[in-house]
Amino acid sequence: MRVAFTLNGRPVEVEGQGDERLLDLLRRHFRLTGTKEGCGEGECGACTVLMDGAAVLSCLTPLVQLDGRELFTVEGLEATTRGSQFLERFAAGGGTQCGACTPGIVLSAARYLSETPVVDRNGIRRALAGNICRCTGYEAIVKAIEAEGGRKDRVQLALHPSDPELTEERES
Amino acid sequence: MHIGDFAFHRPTTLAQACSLSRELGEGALFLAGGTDVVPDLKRRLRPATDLISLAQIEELRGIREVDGGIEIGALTTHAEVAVHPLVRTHLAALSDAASSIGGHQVRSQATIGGNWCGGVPCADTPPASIAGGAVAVVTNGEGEREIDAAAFITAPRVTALNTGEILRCIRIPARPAHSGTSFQRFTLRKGLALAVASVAVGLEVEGDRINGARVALGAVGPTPIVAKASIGVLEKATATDEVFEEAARAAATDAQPITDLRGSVDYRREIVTVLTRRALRQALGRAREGAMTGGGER
Amino acid sequence: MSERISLLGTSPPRLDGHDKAAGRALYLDDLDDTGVWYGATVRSPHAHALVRGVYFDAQSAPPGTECVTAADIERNNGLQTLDDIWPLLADREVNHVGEAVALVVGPDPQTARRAAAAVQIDYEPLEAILTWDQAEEVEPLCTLSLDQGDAEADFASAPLLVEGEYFTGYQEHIYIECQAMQAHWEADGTLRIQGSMQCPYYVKKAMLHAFALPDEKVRVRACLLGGGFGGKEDYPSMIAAHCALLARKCGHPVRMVYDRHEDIIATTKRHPSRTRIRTALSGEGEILAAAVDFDLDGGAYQGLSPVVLSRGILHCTGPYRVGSVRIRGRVLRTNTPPNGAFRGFGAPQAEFAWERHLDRISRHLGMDPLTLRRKNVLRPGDRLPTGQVMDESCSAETVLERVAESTDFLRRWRACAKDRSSAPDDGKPRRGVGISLSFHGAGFTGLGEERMRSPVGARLRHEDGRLELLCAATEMGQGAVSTLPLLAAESSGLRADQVSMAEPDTAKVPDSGPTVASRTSMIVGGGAARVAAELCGRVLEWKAGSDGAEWSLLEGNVFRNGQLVSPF
Repeated sequence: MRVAFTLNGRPVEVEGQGDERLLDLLRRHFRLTGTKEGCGEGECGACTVLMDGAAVLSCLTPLVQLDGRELFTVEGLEATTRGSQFLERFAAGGGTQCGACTPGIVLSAARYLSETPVVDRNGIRRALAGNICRCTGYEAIVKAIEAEGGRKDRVQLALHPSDPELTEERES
Repeated sequence: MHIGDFAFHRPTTLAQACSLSRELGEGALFLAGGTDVVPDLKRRLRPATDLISLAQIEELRGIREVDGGIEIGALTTHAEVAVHPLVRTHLAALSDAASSIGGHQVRSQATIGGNWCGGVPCADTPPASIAGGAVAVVTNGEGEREIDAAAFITAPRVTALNTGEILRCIRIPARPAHSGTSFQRFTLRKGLALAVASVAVGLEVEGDRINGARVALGAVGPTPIVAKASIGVLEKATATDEVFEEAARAAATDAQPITDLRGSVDYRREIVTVLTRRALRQALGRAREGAMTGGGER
Repeated sequence: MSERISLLGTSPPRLDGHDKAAGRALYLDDLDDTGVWYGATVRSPHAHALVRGVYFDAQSAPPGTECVTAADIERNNGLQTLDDIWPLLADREVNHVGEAVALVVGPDPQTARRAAAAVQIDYEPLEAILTWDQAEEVEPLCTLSLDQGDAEADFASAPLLVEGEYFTGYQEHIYIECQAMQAHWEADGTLRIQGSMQCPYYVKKAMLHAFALPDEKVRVRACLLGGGFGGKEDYPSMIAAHCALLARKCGHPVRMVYDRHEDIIATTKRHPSRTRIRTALSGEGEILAAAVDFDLDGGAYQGLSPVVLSRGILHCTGPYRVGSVRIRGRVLRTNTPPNGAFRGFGAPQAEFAWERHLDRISRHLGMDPLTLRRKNVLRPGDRLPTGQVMDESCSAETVLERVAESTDFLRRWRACAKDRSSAPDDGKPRRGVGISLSFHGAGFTGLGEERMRSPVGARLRHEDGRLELLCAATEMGQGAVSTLPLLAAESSGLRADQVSMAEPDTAKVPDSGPTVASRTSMIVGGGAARVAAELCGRVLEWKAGSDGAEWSLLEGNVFRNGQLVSPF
């Protein structure tokens, strides 16, 4: 089965079985190992990526669902100027411990920050409800995202495929 | 890694999907959002030989107004249901149910059709839909039939669907004037949790008089339960705190809970009482609000 | 050298933070797997059974795949921890569900999984020990006792006796990164292991034993860990051995990455416990004597259980003064997966039981739980059951008072008690509020640290002039790679960015002990601080010896007779 989609701003095509997981496709085929497998069952959120602007679980996403979609991983986030600055500030704010949940958490956070003009702690907690930090570093994580939300130059993804700003930002 | 070793099918029309399902028989599973089916397959909980992806079938998508009511395509995600203005206007209980499910990721992937067809006792959107008098519209590729929302799930993980049938949409009838709905749910943590108990209520009022009432319970029986005793208390009664209290206590007797790791029988009955009281108050408030503004539910 | 505390107490960013946030940090399964084969494990579905035969149907298995069973193990089929009874692969008998019986290997995970389906095992199920009562009928895995004073006499003369029985259940670590390991045999016969592990030297010791190799023929490197919590203390040695067996068989490097289900089924968990406590009390609520029977469910094999038991025993009476004690500890054997290390290492189970028992005592006395704890809380000068006297500081009372005050405990407790007393006696649960106090030691228990005398090394690197710390501490989220350089910088007068840490590779670093027991900052950190100070001190002495001037180091700058010369 052949599917074509956009990955971090670049069009790609892959040939594979319909029930291959997006998670493995990213990690093994594209060697984008920032996306982690935590539980493989959609409970932990470590494998979170963005698909057409929504955070989704790549461990539950079969290849068949990818046709025509716009996918965005933590590598894509780091490749943008504001994304990379956000990640640096997130880390400086103590948002990382063992790091296995972090790529998923920062994508959930970036999604929330990009579509929420006024952020608040409840909103942050709700946005991160699908991401488990086993080191239980939630307080620092929420604080780091709250601080980002208060910045004029905060991380801003244009979340929808047709948005020209996204392409521009990525190419910078 | 693959989810398993399956033959994979990608039909583009409902008719194709139905005939594939009939040809392949019981070993064929439909795949929608995948959030329930994929973990089950990984754990070998379902003996599947074939997967039929519904992703390409446009007829299953979208929310539209039909005859004053609305139809929600089975492939509509919870995230879409949660924020769609038509759902909010016609059946606020369903918006609230959809926005309470899972976390953002699950809501972005899981579909309302999957929530119904999975048939688990703690599913949230079936009771919420019962509160709005919804029906399931089912197709076998040639013709359609309607199944009352309360009759769709027949036992844990079993539905009224026959092999070769697909849930096409949830049809919600036109909302009566002066009516309001509510969905209340209790979970052991605030996010990404299954309901210990849930209660959905629909009330139609004229002044303080209750002209029509629907009360549905989730996670406290083998299927969603229509709370008959509670409805009996409410029908044609006056909407007072005392009546609501009696209806709430009656709902606890309607419940048929079991003790499991999320809660005991007693605890769940207690929770049903509290949730029913809350749901009745909110539904009444929404019915009155709607009456004042002439608009839909908020 | 700097006299001023300049770094400690500040919160500099973690050195690995941005890499982790950006997904650049590499965990085992993120490493390039070109040429790497993947292993899978075939496990027992029975709690107890004879293994009559293991058959690998090479015809139905994918081409090229291989299978390893106990019969392929040439040297020692035992996981070296405290003993080596726990088999690497079950031979003739399985003793728990999930016990590894056979291993298979293929060029990718999917193929390995298909090969696993080609393994047929013929079992003869036997009766299994699955309950506390059954476990008491067989020989315990180990026992340990602790006595202080004449408990028997104190019990005989006490005005009040209170007894209770308390249970705790399993707990799984759920580190987000599942167990992951890779093994490779080099042409000269050196076994190289890398993976997700808390204790590279434990893995090395286990490999030396399993394959009967000389010390220089095993090299183990710990990758970054996506969480450990004790769960990667013992079991990584098992997976390392499995990878090494498969790598030897197929001739390729072999990686094994458990999925969550397998990780939960097979790896160690926190020991379930059963604690029976009998206390002798004065009428005023002083604890005159305690008799504690502390039992842990060890699972099928001993593993680290004796040490878990030891820490549990040491915490059996909590941070309280107890006149005399008689503690009897046992690890019972059941046909369940072996239990192991988990944060707290036996102490949480013991302290849970003791705190619940204090609540029971308070009900007997009609005394609120805070007053009972105030009466008995450890104060300076008091003695623990081990005989250790609390002679330095003893913050237990301060902590207790601060929590009681900040939560308005007594008022809330009284409100709940009043509600309960006026409620009907219908057996339904009521609201309550409780308070508990706990204590915990950092580092190994008993004489462990003194025996180990863990060395930490340091060297000055020609390449960049940095001081490099050499220790086996692994980074699992606790921040070792950021904390230890900070401690070394503080003690030596360097800046933190002038100190780095060598990767925990047994070919590069000395055995500074396992990364467990909250010992890394305190014990290894202490070693890092001492060795860095000594190394820098020697450099300054050598400079002074060469020109007679006074050389010093402050905040990363070198001074000669008080004049700034250069950065270090």
